[in-house]
Amino acid sequence: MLSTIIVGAVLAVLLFIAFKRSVNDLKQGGCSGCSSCSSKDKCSGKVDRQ
Amino acid sequence: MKIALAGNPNSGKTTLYNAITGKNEFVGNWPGVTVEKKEADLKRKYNSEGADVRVVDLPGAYSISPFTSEEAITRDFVLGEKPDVIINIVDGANVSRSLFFTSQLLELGIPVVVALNKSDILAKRGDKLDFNSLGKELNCRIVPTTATSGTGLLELVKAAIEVGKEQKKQISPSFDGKDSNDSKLARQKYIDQIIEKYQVKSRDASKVNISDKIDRIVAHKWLGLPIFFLVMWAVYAISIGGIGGYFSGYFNETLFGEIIPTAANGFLESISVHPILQALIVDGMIAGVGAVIGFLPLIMVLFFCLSLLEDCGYMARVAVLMDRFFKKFGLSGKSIIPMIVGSGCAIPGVMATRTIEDINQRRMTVMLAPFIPCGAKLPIITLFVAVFFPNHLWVGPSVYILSIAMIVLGGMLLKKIFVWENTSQFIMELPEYKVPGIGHAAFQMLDKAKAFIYKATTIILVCNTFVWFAQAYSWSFQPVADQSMSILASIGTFIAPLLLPLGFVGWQLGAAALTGFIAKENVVATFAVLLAVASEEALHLPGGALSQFFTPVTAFAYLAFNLFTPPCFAAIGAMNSEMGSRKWLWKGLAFQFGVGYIVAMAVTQVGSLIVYGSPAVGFIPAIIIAAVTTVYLVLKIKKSNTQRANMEIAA
Repeated sequence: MLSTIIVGAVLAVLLFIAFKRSVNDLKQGGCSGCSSCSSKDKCSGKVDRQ
Repeated sequence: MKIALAGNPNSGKTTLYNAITGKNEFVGNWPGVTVEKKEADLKRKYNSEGADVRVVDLPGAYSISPFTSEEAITRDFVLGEKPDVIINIVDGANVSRSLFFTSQLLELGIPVVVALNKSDILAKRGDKLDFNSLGKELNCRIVPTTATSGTGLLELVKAAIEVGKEQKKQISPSFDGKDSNDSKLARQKYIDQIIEKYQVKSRDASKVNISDKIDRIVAHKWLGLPIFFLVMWAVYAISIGGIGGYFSGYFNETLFGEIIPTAANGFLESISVHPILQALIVDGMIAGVGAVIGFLPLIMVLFFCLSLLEDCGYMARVAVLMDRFFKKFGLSGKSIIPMIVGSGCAIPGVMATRTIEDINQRRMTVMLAPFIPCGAKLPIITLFVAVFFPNHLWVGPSVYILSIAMIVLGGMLLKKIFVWENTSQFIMELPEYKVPGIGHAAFQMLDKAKAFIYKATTIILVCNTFVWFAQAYSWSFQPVADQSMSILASIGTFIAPLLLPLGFVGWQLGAAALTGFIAKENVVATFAVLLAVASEEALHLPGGALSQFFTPVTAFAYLAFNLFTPPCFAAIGAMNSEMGSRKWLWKGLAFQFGVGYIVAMAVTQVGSLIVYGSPAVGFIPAIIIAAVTTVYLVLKIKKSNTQRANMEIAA
């Protein structure tokens, strides 16, 4: 039971981070919709947040 | 202090920017790669005094009077934000043309330092430029540089900081006819005079060199296209059949097929995690993300090869080659640039349409550029090729040929449907052929791999979790024993009748296509999750679990459907910005959906008749849809013709 709660909590955190990043990328016009993006300021993984 | 980098397209601004800021913005060996300004701090190596220096990379411009929207960005920044100093990058391979813009920048009063870039090419040609005397003539410092190797950059930045600190008003060169009505001609005359005075050319430009000889073959009007197909075939052969395919096979079958799921199951069982949570992790997250990541080696090799082709200058020739065809169908030759850029990702592809001056051609290109398979569509292509066409390497490149054919046909159709006229000419400067940089290609490859992994671990992961949940639970949130009773099945069943004329039977196909609109890789991931739960057979093997849904013909049609229907959400957002009108966005989406639907329908029904001798499922509805579409198009074209005739009379 405890292991299920711990694994479930870790999973929930991971999913929350992934979801938040996806939503942020879409809001900022970052490319979360296509991989292999070559335009850095539109590519979600490397938005230059200066 | 703000330093602006300005110069002609393809003069090496972004390469120089990357070198002095430590950034890794995308660079390409053709004009028009940079369409937005980029800003970063100067690298410490070039900033020994630790001054506050920002460097701004501007899109390329031939003149201070903008012709395209990205040239306007440069003009607006230089005139509006007044940088402290401008580093004007002059293309050493074409000094005469570059100096036209230089002479205009010198008249703005902002201090200018000229970087005589690609000085290695100048030296290789044996040409000599007396840059000290030229600098005196133009009243500015000229520093020879080679941005790719970093030569001369320290001196250049030092000079720029010095000039910026002095804050002296730039003195412009004077020449006859500067203020006359024909000032452009006078300016070019002046440039020609100083070039003649300070440059010694050892090469006779009228003589045919090796580059010209290669161009005569690869850009030949008849040989060019077959050569392009052969090149793409070779790229696919190396990527899918070679090293990329080998590692992808290992990733899909062994790593994500056995090792990771077995280890995860063993671990989760050993700590007695609830079976539902275990199923979510193994069948949902690992199966879905693994199915996408499994294609990573193949995609890395493919982009490595494409990067080599682009860097050596071949892709610029492809642009010129396509211009012949595109012009006839109402597109600009420049339309090929967004399409080549779009082979990585549709978003920068759509953004690259800014280089097209004519608004109608730009809108047309925005609608058509996403037809080229982007990196996100590659997993779908490679999965379907591996399962249904394992011994036919031509199928992969044939998807590109089909895309080009649809772009041409789509262009013809759009020109007929809408009252548009072709107004612009395509002039593209062909870059010098060069030995492609392995380091550059490797960097591009790793960069795309990182983006691919990021995507798989964010939006794909979230979608997979939803897909797993939706296939395991009913609307009353009760676990279902049979997937066909699930939430996903009911959504898929709602869409399924629409796909029947296309020969696609099964709610799973509708569900996968739907998730594909969020991100195209989701098509593969959704099948992986659905089949990980419902089938023991491997997803990626020839004749594997996917075979229950498709024949080879309908599999190719499903590929076409996912290829031509509207791209992912993010790319649709980019389309909205570039179209400049919500009305045109909807028109574009309707056009893309119509093309994807009709092409898939035609492939299924005609293909089944030819290959199997009998029509596929949904033949009668397909005939009705084809008839209705034909009548609609005929009426629409007639209406447009009448409008066009009225406009001519009015004119």
